Amino acid sequence: MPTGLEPFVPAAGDPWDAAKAAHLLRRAGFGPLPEDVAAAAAAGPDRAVDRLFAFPPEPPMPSIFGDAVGAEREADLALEGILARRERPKDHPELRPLYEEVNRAHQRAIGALTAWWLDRMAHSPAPLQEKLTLFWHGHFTSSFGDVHDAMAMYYQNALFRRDAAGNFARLVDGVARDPAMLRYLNNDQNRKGHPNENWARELMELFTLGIGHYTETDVRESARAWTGWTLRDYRTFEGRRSFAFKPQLHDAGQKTFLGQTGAWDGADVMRIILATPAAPRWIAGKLARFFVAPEPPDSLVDALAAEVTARNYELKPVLRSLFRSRAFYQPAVMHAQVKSPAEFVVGAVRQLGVRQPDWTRLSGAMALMGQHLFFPPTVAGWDGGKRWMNAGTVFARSDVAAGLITGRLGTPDLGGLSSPDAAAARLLGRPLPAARRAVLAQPGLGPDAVAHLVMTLPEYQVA
Amino acid sequence: MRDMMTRREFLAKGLTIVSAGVTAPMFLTRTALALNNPWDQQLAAQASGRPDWPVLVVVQLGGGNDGLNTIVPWVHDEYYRARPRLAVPQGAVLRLNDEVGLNPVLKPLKALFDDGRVSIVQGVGYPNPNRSHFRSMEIWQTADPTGNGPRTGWLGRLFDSECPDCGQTAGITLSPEMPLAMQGTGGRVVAFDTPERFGFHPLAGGGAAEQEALRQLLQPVPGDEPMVDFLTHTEMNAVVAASDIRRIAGKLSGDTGTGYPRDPFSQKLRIVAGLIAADAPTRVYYVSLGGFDTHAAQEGRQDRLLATLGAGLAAFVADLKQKRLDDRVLTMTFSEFGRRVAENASAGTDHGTAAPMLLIGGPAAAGVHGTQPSLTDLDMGDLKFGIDFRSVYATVLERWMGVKSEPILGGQFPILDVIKPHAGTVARV
Repeated sequence: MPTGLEPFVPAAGDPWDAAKAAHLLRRAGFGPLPEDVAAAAAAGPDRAVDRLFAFPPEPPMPSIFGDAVGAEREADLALEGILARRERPKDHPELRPLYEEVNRAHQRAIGALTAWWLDRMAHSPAPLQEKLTLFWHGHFTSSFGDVHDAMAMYYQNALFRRDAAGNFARLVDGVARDPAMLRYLNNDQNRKGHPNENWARELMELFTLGIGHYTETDVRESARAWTGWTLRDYRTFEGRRSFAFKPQLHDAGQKTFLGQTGAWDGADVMRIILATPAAPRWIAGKLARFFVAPEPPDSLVDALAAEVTARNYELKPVLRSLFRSRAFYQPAVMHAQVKSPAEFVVGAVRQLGVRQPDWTRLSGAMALMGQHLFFPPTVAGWDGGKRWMNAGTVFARSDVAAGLITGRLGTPDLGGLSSPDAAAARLLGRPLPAARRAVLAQPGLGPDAVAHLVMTLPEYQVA
Repeated sequence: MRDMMTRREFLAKGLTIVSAGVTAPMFLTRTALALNNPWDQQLAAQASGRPDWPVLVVVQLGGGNDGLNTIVPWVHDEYYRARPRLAVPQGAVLRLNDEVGLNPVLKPLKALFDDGRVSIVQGVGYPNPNRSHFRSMEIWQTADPTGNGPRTGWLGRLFDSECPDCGQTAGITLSPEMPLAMQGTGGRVVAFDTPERFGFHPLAGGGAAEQEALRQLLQPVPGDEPMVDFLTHTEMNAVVAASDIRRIAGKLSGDTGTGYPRDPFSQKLRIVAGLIAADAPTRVYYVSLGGFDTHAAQEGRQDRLLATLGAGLAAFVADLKQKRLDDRVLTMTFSEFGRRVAENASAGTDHGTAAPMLLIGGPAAAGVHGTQPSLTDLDMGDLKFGIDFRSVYATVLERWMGVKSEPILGGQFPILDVIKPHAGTVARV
């Protein structure tokens, strides 16, 4: 029985063409340009897919955290002085403005970090790496609203980028030690005798297994195993929080977890989880829903899960088979995903050739569209799909398109948009249905209005 | 130019498409859902008369309103001892009973109270109160003091569970940002400052031609892919919602309401009354009044804000009465917390805990409910709550909105006698 994961084989009636190349680049990136599509079409499916994985070296950390680190140092010094004198912080109202400045500095930094990341999505030589970073941000969620530390959010983002198509087991391990996650799911407060189950539960429910593959007892036993996986008491000299295992907080007793008994700690729990058949299927399903279709066929997910197992959780070959698969190029799959606000905004900036985009206002507009980067709405991330679109978000998208076209949100290059056909080719990568083309060809609509209408159309909201 | 398709026409057209058997699976699903949905059935039945569902208006007092200087416990010496500078003098209090009375700047509410349209719920709070604005507001808006539940609003969950496929304007927020309280997973809420600004904005110069082109572009095309077809209908719905709102806004300009003050808060209430009168299909309106964080020099600031609140609400109720809508609309006020019992060194008050809530309108069971929290038996200087705010929510949901509160609030909370029995069903008759 074919599963859909078999490689797509070009044939006379079903060639590797610009439409398939554009589909690949839309799903694996953001708003491909006609020249990118032409290059991928000419390269053939194997090379086009391989090129997606040419990830550049890690980008340098943006210099946006100086104020936050400085404000923290000042506040901490004042606090330490008070504590050293054995006085109570609550009797020192002068501390309050210091910590308020810490909060404000982190707020500014998270805004700058969002702008930095959006710019990277738009200009990275490896859009797939940023697309996967976005995928992991929605999978292993942490929100600045709870973490309150912009630098920790940066390091989590860097972790997702570094292991974007790496080994899933290594990624889970990195996330388990990630300061933003330790804070977000409170494992920093999980200690022997006073377990906090938040991380232990979400690790299984949302990150690795899904509901139904463990019991409440497994959650409690897992939480015991994760005790002592916490944050170091002091920041590094650079102001970075880091992971620490504190044996004195760890419950070293016997636990029975997913049917296995031993003096488990967190690493054992991860090993046991990843050895269950539900684990490869969970991540395979999540990847298929993100990259292929909202409801991928079971046979495809099963085949992909088998690939995850066979490759020992190495994701690059798994993703490669997915992008090469027959299922990926089915007509029912193409144009069947709703663009996320990130895809919409970053893609629009790219396709309109916008120089110096106002990322701050664009990220604010993305929040109105339902995707506030670094502030996922729940630990389950963004629902995505049809949920992106409602009366408010439709107009928010249309207004951003207008802002980009008229130059209010950056300086566009509208040269390639002189006619409805040119606008469709550049913005949609395919012709419009005749009925809609006729509407856009009416006299009285200037090229700017045509571009604005195309970007408001349902055809532009799908990838 | 032909008018935008109305929602009814659109619904009718949708049904035509279904019966014509055009291949549009997504839309088929949507329509099938819509047909089984009570709220949409109401919408469909709307042709024969005026809408009759209960409407809730939530008024958020941002910053932490000082409950003790709103509903003043004038009979208690402890109040005067704790607030030598800020206490409202006994002689000035507008007495509601032999224990509490209104701050005199709320005189317009006294008239409503005497008219039997104000229900005051005393000592409302929740266990282990959080004194952070952000966190406590989040608790009130999600109705989840633990923070472990879904990060959706209690009203958003109302829309999700009670109208999974209803129109795009089940909830309207009169500000550009959508409060967490209104956010569900279905997103059937809209937020705008002014109804006139909500909708598709053609580029400058392209106006009518671009607007008309969009209307033509959003006609379903046979053979569209399912997702494009779904989005075509979603966008058409949005345009219809915006057109509804604009049509209603058009009526608003001819209907200035009666005697609203000029301030933005009152003007938002004027728009709400107008939207209800214009048969907007909306169940919940959300209006905010901010600035109650009175750590210093409280008296002048809170007096001004309370005066704005009282005058605005009184004008709103008067307008609704004149429009014969008073029995269809319940207004509820809340704030993220009250304030410390004792005034501070800056003639202000710091973040506190329990405070009164107000329910206003024909459906309210007039009177003072609950008990004034003790002014001496305190928790770190703050009042101990007597009524969980989720009991008030549960009462509003069950008695007024006519829905089960337990799935929305994640637990069962006692129903209070703060709304007239059967008020919700009366509204639906």
